[in-house]
Amino acid sequence: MMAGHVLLVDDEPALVSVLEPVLKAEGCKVTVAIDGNAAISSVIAGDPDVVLLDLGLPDMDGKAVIQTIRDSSQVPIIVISARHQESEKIAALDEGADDYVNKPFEIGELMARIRAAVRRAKASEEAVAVFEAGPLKVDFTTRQVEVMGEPVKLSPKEYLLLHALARNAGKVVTHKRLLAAGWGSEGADSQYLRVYIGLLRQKVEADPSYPELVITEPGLGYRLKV
Amino acid sequence: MWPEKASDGVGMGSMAQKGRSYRLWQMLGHGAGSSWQPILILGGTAVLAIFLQPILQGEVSSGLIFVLGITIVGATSGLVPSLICALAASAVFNFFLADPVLTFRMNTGNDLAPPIIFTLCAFVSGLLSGRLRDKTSQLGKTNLQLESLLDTSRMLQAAPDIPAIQEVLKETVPGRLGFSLWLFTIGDGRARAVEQLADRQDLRELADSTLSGEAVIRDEIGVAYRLDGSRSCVGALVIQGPGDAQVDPAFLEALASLVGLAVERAQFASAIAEAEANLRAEGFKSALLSSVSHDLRTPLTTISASASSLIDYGTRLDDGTSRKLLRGIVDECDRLNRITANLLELSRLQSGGASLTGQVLSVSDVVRTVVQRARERANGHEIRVSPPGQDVLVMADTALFELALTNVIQNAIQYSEPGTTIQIDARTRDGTCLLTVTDEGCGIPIGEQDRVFDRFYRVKRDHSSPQGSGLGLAIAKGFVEAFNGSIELTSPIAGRAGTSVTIWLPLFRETAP
Repeated sequence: MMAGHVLLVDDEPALVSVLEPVLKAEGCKVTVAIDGNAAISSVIAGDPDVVLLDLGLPDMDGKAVIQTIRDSSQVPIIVISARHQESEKIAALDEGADDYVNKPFEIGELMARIRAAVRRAKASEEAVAVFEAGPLKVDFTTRQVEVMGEPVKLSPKEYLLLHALARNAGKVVTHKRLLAAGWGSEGADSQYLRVYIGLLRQKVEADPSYPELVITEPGLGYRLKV
Repeated sequence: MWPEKASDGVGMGSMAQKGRSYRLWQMLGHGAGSSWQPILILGGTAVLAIFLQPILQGEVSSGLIFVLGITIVGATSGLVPSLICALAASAVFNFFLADPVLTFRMNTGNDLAPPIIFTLCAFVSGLLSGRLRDKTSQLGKTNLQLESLLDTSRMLQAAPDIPAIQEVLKETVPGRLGFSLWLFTIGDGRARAVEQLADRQDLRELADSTLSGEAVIRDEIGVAYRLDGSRSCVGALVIQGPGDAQVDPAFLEALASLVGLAVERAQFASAIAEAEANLRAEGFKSALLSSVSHDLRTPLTTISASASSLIDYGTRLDDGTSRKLLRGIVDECDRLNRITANLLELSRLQSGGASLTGQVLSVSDVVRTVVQRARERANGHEIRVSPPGQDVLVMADTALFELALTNVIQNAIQYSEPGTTIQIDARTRDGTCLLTVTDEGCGIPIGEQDRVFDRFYRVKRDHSSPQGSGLGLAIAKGFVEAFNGSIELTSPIAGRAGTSVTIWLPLFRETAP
């Protein structure tokens, strides 16, 4: 069960009338905003736990909404959009969205993303010192990494990448952000990134050819599965 | 086919051209009476010299009159006539004027000098004046040819397409002189006549042979010139003279090369126009695709979310919510179906009139069918219909008519509050049927009223409203225009809010069997 306050931003009444009762059945409090301005004022007034945001809004561009929300709030934002272009997703994620769900979606998938986003937000509030997901354990204070209880030795770059992924566990981290985390520059060659992700997988994945922890999001970046 | 501008250019050029072509005709040796001119001049001077001889009292003065005549002949008729005249004058001088008179016989000594000196003078002056005249004539001819080519080039530049080039050819000097000029382009590797040749297969074969063979082929039927563009051969020009008429081959060759460049330019221009049309079609397709993918995904999202919610949360949702979700699935399926119908009809309209079939339809029947379906979708709206007094018949495509009316009514439902009234009126006026759909909705801002009929245009609204595909009214407009009707929109309606859309279609008139 997840309880919390969900801000639903979508101008499509048919979809709102589906999501609203279902989210309520999940025990959530639901606020509906039908355009960007209503969404921004609802974030300030209502302090939601998660924002579900459609990018195609009647009054302003969804990316501008993300930008404005990010100026004042770190609330998790899950983008829901029928625009499937990679560039759109990357731009939304770079603006500060936490996750991206393509339309059409199944309710289970959306709920899982909402739960992950809420959990992540809670975890970062508590500023966990240790991250655990399945066989992987990362101790952020000692920089110790363990897989199935066995310590793993990572190079500094590999650790920086794993750190960036673990801090945003469950969420897509774009190529740009990973490059910034590992090489200190967003413009670094993404070829390096591929090589180092490969090395990281060799060390943390049970079967590096079928990664189950460090998941590729084609065209966007990588996600550490929770 | 022949734009105003181009025809003006040709008209202005042709005035100057007319005079020039006549002069060229003369210079080419077809001028009447020119062969008699030297004889007349020489005869005149001979008579003058013989009759004046007693008055002038001296053969030298008479000789000078002869030399004057020869110079005039040289200056007007050229080298050869002037030399012939010199010879004749020498004989006449010897016979009539030089002692002993009336005989060709020469005395000795002093008598011998005047005829010899006269003959020498006659030949030299004939030679000089004749050569000068020939040179001037040659220069004038070249000049005329150049000017004529320049005129032709100007007209060819104004020709927008290949059939226009064929028309220009008739205005050229050879064309005006009665020559037939046949333009051929290349199609499937063979010569293809621009104008209908009827039974002139021989001309096409001549053109064909120059495409693969020599650049210029002379035949008893005419001369064929291969037209070379800057990159490759673009066609052929076959010229047929009237009778044995001749035009300078160099002139015709120059003309052929000008025509070749013009044909190539016209081909490039049409290729560019085609590429631009393709580009526009591509742009339309990609706009359509992106719109379609968005429009199809929106109802699919509701369907997918509703169905998966019913599966995952079935027991936890109350009855009312479950029914609402199921209703939503049905509604969205209907919406998908409408989008599909719109796309299909749009592609039919796009492909032109070929697939549009008109049939005689009763307006009341169409309205009844469409309204019945619309009432199922109406969200608490009351749809009122005032039918026409008698049965009104129009000629239209059934599917398109229904879709156009459905789109207009759908807009009325979407953009007005539940519980309001949508009024549909059918009337006739001046041989047309007027079908008006009026709602009490939010209306359309005046600045956007023209654009709502554009494809993919959606009115930006500051409050919640279901977004349409931006195709509905575009299709309605495409439909009425395909059947010679029109569509107009009024908003707000006098006194209150709301929108009124009127479709005008010509009434069907039964023609006598």
